[in-house]
Amino acid sequence: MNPKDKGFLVQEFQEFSKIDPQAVKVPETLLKSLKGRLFPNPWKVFFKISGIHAVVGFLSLGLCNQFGLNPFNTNHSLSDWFMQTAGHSVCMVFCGVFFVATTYLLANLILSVEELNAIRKFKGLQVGLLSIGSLAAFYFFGGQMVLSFTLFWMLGAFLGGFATVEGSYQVRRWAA
Amino acid sequence: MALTDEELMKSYVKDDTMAFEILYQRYSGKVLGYLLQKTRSKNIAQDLTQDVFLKLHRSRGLYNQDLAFAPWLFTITRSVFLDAVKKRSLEDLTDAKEFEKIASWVEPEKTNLDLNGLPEIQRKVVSMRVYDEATFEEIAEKISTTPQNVRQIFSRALKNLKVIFGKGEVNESER
Repeated sequence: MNPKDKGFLVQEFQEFSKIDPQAVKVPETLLKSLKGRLFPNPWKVFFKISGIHAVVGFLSLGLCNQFGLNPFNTNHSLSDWFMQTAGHSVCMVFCGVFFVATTYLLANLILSVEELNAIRKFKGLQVGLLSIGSLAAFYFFGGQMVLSFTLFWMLGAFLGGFATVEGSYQVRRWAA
Repeated sequence: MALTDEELMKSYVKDDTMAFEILYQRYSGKVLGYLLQKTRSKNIAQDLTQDVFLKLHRSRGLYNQDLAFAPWLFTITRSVFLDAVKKRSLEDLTDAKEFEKIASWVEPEKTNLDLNGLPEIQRKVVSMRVYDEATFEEIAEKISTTPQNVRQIFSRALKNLKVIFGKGEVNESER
């Protein structure tokens, strides 16, 4: 920086310092809206995520059937491939990872870094509720559910959810 | 004893929302005041104040706790302002100033300029932009057109006012 620019910056900073903050009326709505953006309510974000999950989760069944549910009647499913290559238990873990991770990955298109941070602070609870909600929906729509496989699926859902929430937040924060 | 800005920043880095609020109370007036001086528009200055605190929030992890907080916030404020200038173009941000200049040619002590010499649409746009401090986007919505079109109308109105008050030239097709 040349001395002229430096002098100009110092002068600007002095002007900034001289401003009496009490003399400027800052509307109260500014802080309210700022707080809403910087510290979003985690449960409001959860409802947003649930909405995204309902759509993304349903569409993902076209790529990876879950508990025998195949609403798009596809002939090929990732779950078949997981089953053939790694066995039933590992297949359930991968299916859980896929089902939850796709939602959090695509949610990056909609959520702000601050909203991701809000989820991240309660990620155990948020991922847990999303997984239980998903299992309840599978059951409701006639999924063939067995307790041991369901537990493997939950394990996958937690792994996928934790990794994508934390990973997405770190990448987005770095990029911001 | 009240915490210093630097101590508050230390807590804020650890996600303490109270620390943020105190810093905001201490500095929002300064930031808004500075941006008002720069932009001469209440709406733009308020939008930019939000951007300053958003940027502060996102970069709080980069704050060096051995350095003073105020110069760091000033750097953020200035960079937000310069980014806005680049984005909106200098003309948009200083149009109110330009208008004030025209008004001062006529009657320096008068704050409301007689706009009767302008075509109706230009009069409407200038009035909303300068006296109501509406953004181009808000005006566009009110008169059912695009913000780009509003910018053009406003710019033509300024040229016309310069001609009306004998300080500029205008091409007849631009009126």
